[in-house]
Amino acid sequence: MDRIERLVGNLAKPSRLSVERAKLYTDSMRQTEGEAMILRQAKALKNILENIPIQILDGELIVGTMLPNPPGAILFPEGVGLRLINELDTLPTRETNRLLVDEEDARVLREEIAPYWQKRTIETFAYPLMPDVMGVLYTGSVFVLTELAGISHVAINYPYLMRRGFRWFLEESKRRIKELEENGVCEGEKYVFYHAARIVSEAVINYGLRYAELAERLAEEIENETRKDELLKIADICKKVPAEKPESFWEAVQFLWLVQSALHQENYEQAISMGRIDQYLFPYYYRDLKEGRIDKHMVFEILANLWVKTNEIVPPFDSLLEQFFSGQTTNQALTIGGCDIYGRDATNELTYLMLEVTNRLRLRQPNVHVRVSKRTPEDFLVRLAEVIASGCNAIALFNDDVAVEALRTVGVRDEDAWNYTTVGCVEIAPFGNSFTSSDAALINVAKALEYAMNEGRDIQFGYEFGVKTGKAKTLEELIENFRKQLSRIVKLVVKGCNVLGHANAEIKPTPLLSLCIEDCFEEGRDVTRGGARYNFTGIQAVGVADVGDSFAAIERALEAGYTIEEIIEACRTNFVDNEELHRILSESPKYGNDDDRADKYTRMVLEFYCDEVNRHRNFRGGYFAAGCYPMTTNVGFGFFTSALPSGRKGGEALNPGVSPSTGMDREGITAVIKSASKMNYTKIPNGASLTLNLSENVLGSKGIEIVKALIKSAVDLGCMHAQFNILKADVLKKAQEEPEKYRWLLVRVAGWSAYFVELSKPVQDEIIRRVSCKL
Amino acid sequence: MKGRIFRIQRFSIHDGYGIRTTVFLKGCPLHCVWCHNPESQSFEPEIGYKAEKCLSCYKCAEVCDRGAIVPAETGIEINREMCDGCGRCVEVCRGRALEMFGKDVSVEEVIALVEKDRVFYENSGGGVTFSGGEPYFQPEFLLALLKACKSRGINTAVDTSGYARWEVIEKTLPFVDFFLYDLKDYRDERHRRTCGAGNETILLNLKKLVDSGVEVIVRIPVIPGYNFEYEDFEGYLSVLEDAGVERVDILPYHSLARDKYRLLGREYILETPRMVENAKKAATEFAVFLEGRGLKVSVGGYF
Repeated sequence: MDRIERLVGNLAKPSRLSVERAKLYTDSMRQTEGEAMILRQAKALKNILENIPIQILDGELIVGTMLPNPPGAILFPEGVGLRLINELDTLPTRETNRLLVDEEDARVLREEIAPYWQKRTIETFAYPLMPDVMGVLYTGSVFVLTELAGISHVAINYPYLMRRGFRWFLEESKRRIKELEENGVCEGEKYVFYHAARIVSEAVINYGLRYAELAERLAEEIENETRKDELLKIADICKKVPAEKPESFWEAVQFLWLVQSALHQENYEQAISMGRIDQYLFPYYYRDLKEGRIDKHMVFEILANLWVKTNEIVPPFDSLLEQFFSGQTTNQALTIGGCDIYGRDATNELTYLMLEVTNRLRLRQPNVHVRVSKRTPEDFLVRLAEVIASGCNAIALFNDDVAVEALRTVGVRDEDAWNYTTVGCVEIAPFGNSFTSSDAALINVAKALEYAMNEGRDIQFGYEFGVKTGKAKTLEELIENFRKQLSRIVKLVVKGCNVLGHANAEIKPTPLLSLCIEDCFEEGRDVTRGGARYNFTGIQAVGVADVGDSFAAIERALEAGYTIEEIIEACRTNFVDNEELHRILSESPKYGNDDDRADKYTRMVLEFYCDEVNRHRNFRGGYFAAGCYPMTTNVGFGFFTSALPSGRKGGEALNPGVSPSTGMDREGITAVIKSASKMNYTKIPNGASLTLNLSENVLGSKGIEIVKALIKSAVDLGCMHAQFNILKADVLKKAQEEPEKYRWLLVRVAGWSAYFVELSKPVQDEIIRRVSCKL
Repeated sequence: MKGRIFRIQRFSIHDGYGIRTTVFLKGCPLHCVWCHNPESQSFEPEIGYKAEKCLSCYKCAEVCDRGAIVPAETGIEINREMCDGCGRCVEVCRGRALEMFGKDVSVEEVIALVEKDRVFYENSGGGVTFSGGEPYFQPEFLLALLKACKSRGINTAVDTSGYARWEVIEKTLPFVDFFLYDLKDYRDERHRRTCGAGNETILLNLKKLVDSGVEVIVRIPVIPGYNFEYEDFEGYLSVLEDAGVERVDILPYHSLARDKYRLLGREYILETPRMVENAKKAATEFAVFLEGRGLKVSVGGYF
């Protein structure tokens, strides 16, 4: 068995629920009550990093477990971790994404950890400030606010950290503390910040040293000489990084990983991304290779090790969150390829190698995001197409020119825009100096239409949450009312995000993360308080095509002699006994067929949304940024949304991102790409997802050529993002019947990859419906 | 100018190089028993009927002023001889059980649709394929379409049975980049039996076409028991060699057309057990054989 198989084998165990982090965190927080919150967080992190059980797993070159005895989930009781408390008994047996729970751990959680946090979470802070928002949130029908869990969703500035090393932060903190003391500590907040920075720097350095000691101990015990040498080498490396600057490729990756794993003890496990990894690792790679210190085989193994490590952690979602974020992924994104800060192509040897690693491993994590442009080398595109056409569904593509333009439009400087990174699943952000809370909320845009059709009343729940708009007589009036409803929903979500932004700053400052984003340390301000250079809050639209299709369908039905009133009534009754109208509505032009009659409305709806979102300011001194992707909320939101004039029946899934509504793309994939290219991406600075389903048996031996042509065309046409799903519908159905045989089956769901068999049944069904529809 | 088509398919990747748009012209002089596009054969518009979708509302029968539709116990019966293809029944069908095959469109309408995927043609080396039916049986329409495409710099292909007057084909030559040319049988009497006409014209045209210097890819359907037996290898080869063909695409029989026959109220007579497997096997061996004789061969329409 080769090393990579052994590394993958380390993940083969069933996932467990880990309480170690929660316990160490809570212990420390109990002891520091009353102190400055940022100091308390720093001390709590130090307690974790210095005491959490650590391991070096079989065959590892890169060490640092994300939790003791991985794989598994970490609980963040200060966020929403304790939602699981009532489901501890069913976690090991539930249908999807099971977690093993130790009995004693369950007791500790229930009796020691949960009682302490009952009135100390982010939600405890936020709730009294927005009971109105929370009431609607709990219905799960209109929007989801994620910052209740913490913020995360950020790309770590590893090159910045690697140019310094944590010893530098330690010494520099001390120096600044002294400097402030010279001036009488007139800037109290900074003073506390640097104290916290000092503590976490020390904690991270000690974390590395613990691994050095462990490696040495293991080396003493082991007989196998090769492994002994490896372990001694690991020990040397961990003595050096992350305290000092890395000087070799191996050291750089080990640096990265220890920080990545430490960050996951501070920040909850969503979308802590690694940025432009092929760019900042390249100098180390190039020098080592040139000076004969490493060969490509070794580079491949080190990278594969890194890729595998990102799979050690899974989210501890409860049954409700499983519906909205099915697939149990942590969305640690990494970005490869694309242009440099001057807009010149910067694809390099590591870009190719990382693509190969991704292709070989085909794991759920990391999210591998490939930046492409008209300047991407042809042979890289060919290799990319080969990998995608062969069914490697863990890759997504981003179009440089479009992404850069979207960021420029919201005031990002040219060089920062060109240096954008991806975050999480679909989001884009300036790399290294931005904190964009890129998945702060998701909004069901179709709900705004439901309200507009029913004078502000929710048909599913009966309450009046919307604005009391009048009865629309014309399509124009209905569109106007829709806009009013949407505006109100966005305003509430904005309020929710800002209260939660504040709550996070008060309850959960993140001193370690603050060292990882440029300007925070220089300014002495925590990242949750706006320490970064760019501060956005990303909120996503879900169901834009369903609303656009509804307007197009109404236009058609009005021409056929129906009144708005009749159309609305038919939707209220889910089209029962109104087959003729339903047929007219269903057969009207639909988004995704390159038909301007429909596409113009989806574009309009998305623009409305973006205008409403982008004008609001956020707590950290930046702006809100519109995005358009759903995770799997399109299924959850859809479940709670009544029938729509598009002909979509009540309860059915909404369309994901800028992809067409399920089964509505009747003209084939080129038409889907054309339709998607008509959206105004300059208004979507947070990213928009387009999933392209292709069935393997149709592509045949032409697959590579076709996929390459589709990529190039999507770039030429100005799409922002594209991800391919190369699938066979019958494989999916078989996987549903015999999940145990199809554990490997990876599919892309709205911006991220998931193992098909670990998705909930409704999401699986939705994917099958999407794939089996005509190409 | 208008012509009659029954479908325009975008993202068509089995009808020539790259990503193409295939325009299907309606009507064919041949009636091959294995035809997988039976809706392409008649020159007249036709109604397709999916019984399982019928709601038995009989609205169609009400609007049909020729009385071609009569209510049956469940669903309807269509008297196809009385139908003039006006399409009113399709418009009122609530269950979407009725479908119209055949639509008259102008050259401009077709070109507007074709233009939509230009960027995909350019990035894949694709273009337009005119198929049928037999496109040469709407000669002026086809010629106008080809000229329009060429003047716009769009790559063109014609998928033909070759059963047409040479003069008609010759006229289009300057506007066609390559041909997909069906060779349904090398034996004249078998061709006559299964396709409804002999193959003499077809073979002559093939030779002339190859001689003209244009790229010709010959497509041979493999329908065991009808046009293909193992002892036919040499026969096909000699026809191909005589004509000077260099490239062959072998199309093994598939059974996907069965439903289409049902839709049109027609009998599908081709059903024999293991036909699909046999065809696949024969096609693969035939491909190996032809390759061994120096021809360039692909199977299943993958270019």
